[in-house]
Amino acid sequence: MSEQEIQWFDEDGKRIDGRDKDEMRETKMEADVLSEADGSAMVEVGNTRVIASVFGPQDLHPKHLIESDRAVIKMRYNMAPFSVDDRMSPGPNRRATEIGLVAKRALEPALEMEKFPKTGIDISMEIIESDGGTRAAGITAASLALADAGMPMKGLVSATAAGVVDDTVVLDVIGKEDKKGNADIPIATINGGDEVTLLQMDGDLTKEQVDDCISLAREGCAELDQMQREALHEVYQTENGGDQ
Amino acid sequence: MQINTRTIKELAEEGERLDERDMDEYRDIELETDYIETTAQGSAKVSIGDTQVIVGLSADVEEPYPDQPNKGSIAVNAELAPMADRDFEAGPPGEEGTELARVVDRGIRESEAVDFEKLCIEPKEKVMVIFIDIHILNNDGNLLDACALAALAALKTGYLPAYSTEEREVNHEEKWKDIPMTKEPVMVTGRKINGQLLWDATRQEEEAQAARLSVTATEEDKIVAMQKGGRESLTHDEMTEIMDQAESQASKIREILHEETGE
Amino acid sequence: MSRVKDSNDIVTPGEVVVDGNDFYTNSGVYEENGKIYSKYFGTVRYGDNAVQVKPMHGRYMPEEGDIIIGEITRVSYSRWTVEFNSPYEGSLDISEATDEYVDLDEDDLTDFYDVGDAVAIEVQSVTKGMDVDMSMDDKRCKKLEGGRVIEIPPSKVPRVIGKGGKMIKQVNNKTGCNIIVGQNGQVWIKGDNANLAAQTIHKIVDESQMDNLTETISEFLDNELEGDN
Repeated sequence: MSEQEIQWFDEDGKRIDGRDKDEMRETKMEADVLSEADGSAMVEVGNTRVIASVFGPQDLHPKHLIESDRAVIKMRYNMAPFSVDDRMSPGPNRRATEIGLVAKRALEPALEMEKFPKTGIDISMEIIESDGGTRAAGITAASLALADAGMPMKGLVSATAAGVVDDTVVLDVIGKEDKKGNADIPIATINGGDEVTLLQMDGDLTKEQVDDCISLAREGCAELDQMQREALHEVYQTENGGDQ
Repeated sequence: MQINTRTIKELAEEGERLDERDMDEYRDIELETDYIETTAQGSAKVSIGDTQVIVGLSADVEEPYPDQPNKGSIAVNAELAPMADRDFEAGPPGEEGTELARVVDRGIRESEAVDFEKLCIEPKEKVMVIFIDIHILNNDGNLLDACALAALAALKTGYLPAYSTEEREVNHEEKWKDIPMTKEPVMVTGRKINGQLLWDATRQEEEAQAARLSVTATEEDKIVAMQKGGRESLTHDEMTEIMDQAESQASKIREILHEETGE
Repeated sequence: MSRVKDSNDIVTPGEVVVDGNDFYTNSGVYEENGKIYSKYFGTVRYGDNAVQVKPMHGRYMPEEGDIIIGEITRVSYSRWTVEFNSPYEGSLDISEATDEYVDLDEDDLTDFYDVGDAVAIEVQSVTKGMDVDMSMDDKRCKKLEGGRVIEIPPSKVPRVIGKGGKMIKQVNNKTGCNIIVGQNGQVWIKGDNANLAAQTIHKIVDESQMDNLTETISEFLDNELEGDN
């Protein structure tokens, strides 16, 4: 089937994976999944799976990065070689560096960095399986991991991407849709509200379409925010008879 | 903390361990194959106690080496991801990661566990190479045995994708065949602490070790690979004991593997 | 104004704890738009017209007066450096380490404490710039010989100790182990049943949110000890 022949929406308005245009993929979250890290979380959005870890606050190296009045975040975004169909060679690449930077900026506004002067916080987002939306899932997982690590925060940060496919605004763009779609707009918000900490875009859209995308993505973030809180509540059982 | 290292050494002299396991007792081993369903051609997640590792396979087509014109190959890479251990740093694999990958590789290669000739698509032109990527999630010791087991489990349940000679492309969605396996090499690492040997060391126990020997054995009780590590020496008798243990521990581990693969 | 969350409720960062702002805000909460929100994944505590949230997890931040368990990592001319599972290190000056007369040029500081020694030690003072001074003066302080040190989240220390020490005394008595619970979450255990004591303490942490925990732990200990006979 050539590009032009792909039917992005069927007669019922369902997308190529059966979803409605404003429907997110099936999402699962679990916090406190690693014993060595100070905080950790795994987030699965459809076939995209991310594990985030937090170490810190702790000693910061190299020393020239130390700030006397606050903590400094070192953020790592990495895709495992087997996380994509065509094996990705291990090692740094510019895309990963940029994503690490915007992810750090997405999380910082929610953190009380001044509480830990002269220290570093090492955050890592490892993508173990990718089907689009990895930076969003990574930020969502990293925020959970930060809460799990006991970091003081204004709130949780959740992220998702809205896009336009075949002139229709859709929520949570998957790999296939992203490659051939018109636009992809990842967004992160604090507490599922109106404070946006991540915004990127590629595409070719009208202002109205962009606005619609942002509104739709914010709804998605609000949904994810609820799930993050449930995942934290599940870390400690509160009733007898539960599974531990 | 050093107080723990000292206590571990004292206990070892009595044949005891902090967690009251026997010296030759492994922690709970859990194995899940097909862990990375959509993007890998085979995968497994292994936990031994709190140690957790993932192996994912990716197959690609390359030109064969001139001296092996009708044989494919494997390539093993290990990522000691910063998430797994406060002391793991981001960056290219250092000594530890490189040794881990190479020792796992040797066990598979020397046993001829994967039938390299059956990876041949077109002699002298095209062969399949299986990339075995190891990703450490959480380090509580004994990464070597955990990774070797995960690699074996991934290979046993993995597949080779179809290759189209006209389009000169691999189609990951279509299966050519199961990965052709001939043997089941299993790695068992013994460590010496204060003159006593023990198996399946935790991260703390590894810090107390004087030396280690990893032995990879097949189901035919043949030894196909060995690697000694650690700052001190091992006696000939100690190495013999570790090799003997390797055979018996490997069978037990193979049983766990077969439970998962349904054999 | 109303309490949205009650004492001991688990909350997450950004969740509303109090609708209104008539409470004094202690640690772990912040005020915005007339409401009080949690800063942590933690538990709510009310008291004296004030509200706070204590975090479930988190690395230890040194507080004056805490007795903690740490390790000597460096010996200098007139002091030792102590690490204790915190983003910050502590400094033990010779004047706070011993009452004996010490000639700094003649005597060897390692005679007192050497690199790798574990100690129960007091946090004497913490400056705003997070310089931490320590002292061995308190009678609860000592060098720890033998035994093992396990780690629990510092926030769970009160639960492990229990009201008036009830919980830890139980573990102490039934296992016959010496146990020192450092405020920094490091716990020193020495004795024949050290492994059981360690497992019990981890169990207290895992089930910290459950009711009737003292009974559960008592039963657990009795069962395990019976099994050994």
